[in-house]
Amino acid sequence: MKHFLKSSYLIILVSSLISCTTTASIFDQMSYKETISAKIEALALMDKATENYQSQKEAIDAVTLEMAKVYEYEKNRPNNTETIKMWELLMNPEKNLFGGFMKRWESESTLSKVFVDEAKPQIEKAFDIILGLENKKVKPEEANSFLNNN
Amino acid sequence: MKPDFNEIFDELKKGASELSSSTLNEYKDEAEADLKDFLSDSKASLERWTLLLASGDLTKKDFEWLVQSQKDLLVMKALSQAGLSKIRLDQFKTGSINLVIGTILNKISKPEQE
Repeated sequence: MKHFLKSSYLIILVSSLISCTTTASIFDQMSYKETISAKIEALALMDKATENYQSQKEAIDAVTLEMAKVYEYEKNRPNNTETIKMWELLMNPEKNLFGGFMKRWESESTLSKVFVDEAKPQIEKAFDIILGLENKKVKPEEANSFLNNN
Repeated sequence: MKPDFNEIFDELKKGASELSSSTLNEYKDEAEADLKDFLSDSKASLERWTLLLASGDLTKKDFEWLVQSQKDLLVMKALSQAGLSKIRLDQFKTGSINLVIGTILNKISKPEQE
């Protein structure tokens, strides 16, 4: 009985220590799924950049809104600094990723097919970096493995 | 029988050494391989864009935009590495705590069974 109590105290202590010392967020299935969805939609939208910007305004607004929703979701996850910064870079119109591509499309009305074909893999890689980090985060079942094993 | 704390401590030292070399070395190799792949990919892209610029398929503005996008990707890569190092650190911390508690629980539960 005495040992059981000691063990219980230790398990509670360890659980508290783990939660206090965690510096990175836990893998989030919803975030992963929504980021893949945003990636597919963003790349499909970029294909339309050979057409007039104003003629695609509805599709542009829809994709921009979708990405803003994912970013907002990421902002509200704890210990998620790097993913948030990556989304900010991806969407920033002053930088040269998705936000910058949209700004250029708007200012020039249409973009050449060669340029679009070269810019698309860059945006794809940016999304893949975000997804790659998410995929390497500790899965909830791994985070709970100590409690399950003891 | 009282648990032998010197024995526990020796076991912990051995476990901690194994844990740090497996977790941290694995991360170092992974980060280096990742950066190497990125640089090799950057070189291929820059070569292709230079040829497209020379042939007139890309404008100077297109070319500059693409080169700048590669720099932004490098920043993303650095952010990802920073995030990954935090993940590995968490895994190391969790592993260390599990090691300490697992070793102690193992030792103190033995006398009760005997």
